[in-house]
Amino acid sequence: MVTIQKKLRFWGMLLTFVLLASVILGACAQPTSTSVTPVTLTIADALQPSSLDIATEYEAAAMAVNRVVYERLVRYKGNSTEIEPELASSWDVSTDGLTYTFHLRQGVKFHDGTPFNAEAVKFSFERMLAINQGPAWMFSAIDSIQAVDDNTVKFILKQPFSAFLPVLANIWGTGIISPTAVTSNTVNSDNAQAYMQDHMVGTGPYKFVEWVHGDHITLERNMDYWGGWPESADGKPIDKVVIRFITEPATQRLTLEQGDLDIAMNISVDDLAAVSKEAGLVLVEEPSMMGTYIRFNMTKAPLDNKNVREAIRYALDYKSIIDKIMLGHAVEMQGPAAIGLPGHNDNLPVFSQDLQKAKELMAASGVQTPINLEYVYETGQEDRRMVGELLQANLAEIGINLTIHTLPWESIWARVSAEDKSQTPDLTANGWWPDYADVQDYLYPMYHSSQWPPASLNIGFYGNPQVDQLLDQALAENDATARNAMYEKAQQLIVDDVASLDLYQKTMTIMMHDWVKGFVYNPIYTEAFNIYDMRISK
Amino acid sequence: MLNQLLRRILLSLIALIGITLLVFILSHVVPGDPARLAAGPQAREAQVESVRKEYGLDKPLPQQYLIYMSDLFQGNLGKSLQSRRPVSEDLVDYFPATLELTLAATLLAVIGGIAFGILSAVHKNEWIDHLTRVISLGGVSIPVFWLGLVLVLIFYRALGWLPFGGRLDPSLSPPVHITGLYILDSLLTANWQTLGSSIAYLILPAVTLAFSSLGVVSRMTRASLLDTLQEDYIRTARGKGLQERLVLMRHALKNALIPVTTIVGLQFGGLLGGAFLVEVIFSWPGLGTYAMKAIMFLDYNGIIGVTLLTGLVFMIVNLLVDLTYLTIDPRIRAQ
Repeated sequence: MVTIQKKLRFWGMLLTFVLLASVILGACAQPTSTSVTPVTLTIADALQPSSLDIATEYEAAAMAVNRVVYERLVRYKGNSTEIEPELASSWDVSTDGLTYTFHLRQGVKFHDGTPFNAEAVKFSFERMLAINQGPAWMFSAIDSIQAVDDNTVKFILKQPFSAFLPVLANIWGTGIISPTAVTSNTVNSDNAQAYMQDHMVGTGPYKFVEWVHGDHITLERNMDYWGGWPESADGKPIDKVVIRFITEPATQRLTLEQGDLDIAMNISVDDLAAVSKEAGLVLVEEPSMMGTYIRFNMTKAPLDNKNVREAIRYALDYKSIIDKIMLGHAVEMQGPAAIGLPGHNDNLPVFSQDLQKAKELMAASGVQTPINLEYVYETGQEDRRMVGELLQANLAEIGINLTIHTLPWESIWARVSAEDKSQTPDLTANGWWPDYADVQDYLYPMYHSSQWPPASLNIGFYGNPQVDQLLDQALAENDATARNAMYEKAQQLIVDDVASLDLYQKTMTIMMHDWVKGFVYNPIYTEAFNIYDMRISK
Repeated sequence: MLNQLLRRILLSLIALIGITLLVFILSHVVPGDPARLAAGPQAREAQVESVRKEYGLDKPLPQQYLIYMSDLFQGNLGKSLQSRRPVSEDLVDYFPATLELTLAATLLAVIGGIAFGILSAVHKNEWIDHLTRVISLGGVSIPVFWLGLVLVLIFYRALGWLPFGGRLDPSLSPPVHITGLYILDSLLTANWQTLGSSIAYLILPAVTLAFSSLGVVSRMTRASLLDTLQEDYIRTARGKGLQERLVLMRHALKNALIPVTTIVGLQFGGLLGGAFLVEVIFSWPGLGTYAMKAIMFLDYNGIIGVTLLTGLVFMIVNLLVDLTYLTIDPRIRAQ
């Protein structure tokens, strides 16, 4: 009898003790850290990278860490797509466009102390090409890499590739990795892939500290950074970066409001208006180059008839898409390529609904109405579902019955890449974002006739020999002005041929506290921050 | 008894193999191409092919299953498509978080549930009984997601008493990985700072998770205790002049807890599943977070790994419950 009572008393006391201890220890935990509090920037991201290996990583989630731990030969400047030096101090391009020579910055060291030199550049790229995963396709133009001397490295291309510098400035596959870290951690000639999965050894302003899987990645300031740490009136430089993986937008919102986060990347669109009204919180909203569009199956009647396609173009209510579906967090596209990319044609028309014109075009087409068409979008893309419903209502006005189907991307792909082109839906919604800042990354895979599925994403089977020729020529043209003229011409032709309905570019929305200073958004480094230039002023 | 135990273990193993087959078939009939998902939306055909080869996804389905099973019997759970490392390593990283949360919630549910149950039974139909019944009913019927957010709004946002989001203050490094349970590892390494922080971070999610089971345990204890209090031997005990407290604690409770033990075993399984939802709200880096990503990526090995482990834990816990009967109930021991 007594034993049970004793036991109960024991457990009761233990519980009380644990609760008490937790409160006391919890309280103690805070003040001890005030002795030398590092200036910390805490960012919430819904997505966790799969891996940290610069050679294989090809997903938005890894962008933030890669941008500041690794450095590239060249980078995009500030908020633009202009190329500026990073680890290369200057470069020359041979007149035939086949040889790129980079003169490297001197006195740079990797985080493990290894000196940075031409061999390291050669080593990094050869490792990435040997592993041949993720971003490797972007570098298929490279024939060989030569370390001419310690500070000079040469890239020899197989054929001229005018987008080579923009490719080198992108985040994927371009970071220079410490050769010592790779060779000393290679197991079974795996190029240190197992080790680099959760380690990073670069030259950047921040060093990798730890990755607690599912929870966070911590980086710390590289005090030996070659760029130094200039004083700024804006506030203190950031000593420590914590990127927390918080999937639930409501959780991000609460922790941001409470001040446990400095930056939240995934506040729900429905909450943005309310959150941005709160004192001390700032909404940064910038255009992205993420385009959403609908492609016509141009091989199949009645969409092989240009008048029908054009009638659909004028029937669509673009304004409602931006205002009511995207709630203003998007801008309408201007032609088939994203606004803001070098080579984008700024003189193209931006369309708005004109039902009268649409009806006239339908009549001129000679096609008997009513006609039945199928619209297909990828499951889970809610905005594309709503666009489909709007389009359905709009097309009813010109005698077209639209049926809407949703499929997983694999099934869409199976239908667009089928041998029998009548399998391909009449209208397919899709989206695209550029890997690097060149309009070529938009136009070539989606509008060159050699890129019909399964080769690539010309899912409407568009083909115009003149466009093909312009795109091929531009690829080999090293003079930017001449190249852009070709691209602009190609975009005009694509719009004239009514190959697609170009819908909208979403905006990036990031919420942050006003004590975070100096953030500059770059439209290519969409999910990354210029942490080196950023300051905290509390 | 030993025979029975061995039979139970054997049956459990067969059930586990059944689970692998079921999950394998279910996850493969879902339309989708995991190789393409893993290679990324802009990957070229050749790269998708190479991923497919690397993970053996190009082989016929029965052959894939046989390969998986033969690897499994050698203790190899395969490589995860989403994290690109062995599933076993992922489970070692993520499972302890879920286990810690589930254990804490079970402890709260059992202690709180039994205490409420006793109070209710003793003060049957008094206000305290009504109150605990309302709380229990609430526990069973309130959605975890809603309860979690409300608790967060009160104790984190409004009062600022408890931290929220994750397992540990992000400025601290986790304790040395011994068991992966932060509280235990902090104690073992005498790291008081991480101990305090990990307990503080555990309170809200554990209470949220425990709430529904607390209701069930408390209802069960109440009903079972009331039944037992009607028994003849209780009347005898009272008749011989024992104090009511002793009658309750020594004579009634011990017998009343036998059905409660069964419920606790089953509840543990429920809590393990419920933890997945709680993890999302509290950004708790456990198996739920991992499983969600595995499902999104159609990461077959990841999905089967999670299911197998959860099944295994559930079976072990229920075996333990059976063993507990032996200690609680001499009648079973005698059989």
